[in-house]
Amino acid sequence: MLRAAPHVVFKRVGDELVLLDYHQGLYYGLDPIGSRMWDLVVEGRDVEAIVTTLIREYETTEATLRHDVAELVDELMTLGLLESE
Amino acid sequence: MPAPFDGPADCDVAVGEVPPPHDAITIDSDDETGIRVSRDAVRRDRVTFVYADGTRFLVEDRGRRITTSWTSTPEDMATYLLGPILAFVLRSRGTLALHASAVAIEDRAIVITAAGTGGKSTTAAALVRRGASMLTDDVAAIEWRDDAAFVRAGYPRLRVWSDSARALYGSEDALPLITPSWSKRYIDTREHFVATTTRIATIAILAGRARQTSIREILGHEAAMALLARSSVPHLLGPHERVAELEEITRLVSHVRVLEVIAKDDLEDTATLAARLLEASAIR
Repeated sequence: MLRAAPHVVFKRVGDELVLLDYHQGLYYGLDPIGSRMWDLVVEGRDVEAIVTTLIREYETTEATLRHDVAELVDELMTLGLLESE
Repeated sequence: MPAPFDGPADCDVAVGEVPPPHDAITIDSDDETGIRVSRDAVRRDRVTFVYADGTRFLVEDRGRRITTSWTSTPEDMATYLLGPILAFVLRSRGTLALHASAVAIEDRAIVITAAGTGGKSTTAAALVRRGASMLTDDVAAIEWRDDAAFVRAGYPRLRVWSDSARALYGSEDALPLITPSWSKRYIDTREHFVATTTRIATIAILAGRARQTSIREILGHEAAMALLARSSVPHLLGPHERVAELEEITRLVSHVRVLEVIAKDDLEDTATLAARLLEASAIR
């Protein structure tokens, strides 16, 4: 299970998010689809459930979504913004 | 300060000995500028600033009391005091301050921010020459009233580099130096100054220069990230202050128009840039 790292705070601006890693003093921006993915991750959904949800909301293929979700999760884990429980 | 105040002073500045910090935690140390900022490890409300030219400040109790000493000139000391020191005081009191200038057109403000020497004061000066009133230079403190964002008035000076002085006034000697030891000059804007906290219409971010001026509205995380990069003294903030800053900036971009400005690479054309900014801000 994934969750937001404890040193990460996030704020919504419209349908987008800004993330703050306050240990590093660094900010990150997420576009609308990235923000939606983040919301689903912090709600406790696993990658499979996120893909199932997003396929109903966006006009794209399952393969593209699966790739994009995996890539974003990977990047957010590398940056220390997400962690495994 | 010419601004009328109706309450007691909340910042007492005294000239006196600033002892070297001991048992201090370094907050910032910049070899390039030679500035060292440290917090007393025991009395954590005491923060000491030591500049390369020997100017020192001890800021206590979130700026209720500031003690300063210097070995250069009082003008150098005052430049630090009115810039980074008061910005630090504002921020340690939880007030968002942008590294920005601001002017007013009637009862609405345009806040102009830029990266480094991006020309915010020069643009503000051009707007003042087109009839705008001067509000603040360098430090723009943001205040909320009934869910609307306002910018506080600062003091009636704009500081510009020599090339801007030449572009605006034909000769750098048209403007006096701020201090004998620095090539930056100032424009006395007392005649055009309004000491009134003013509602913000637009925040213009000078993001770069190109062959032609272009202005576009930016929204959402792009606007928030651009302003987060242009807050005052962010490197001196602790984790809690960072969280508060994120809250304030996201609120700000939800309430005011944010414009990204790429200015024509020609200081002589600052008057045109000022006119375009007025037009884009929907203020005549």
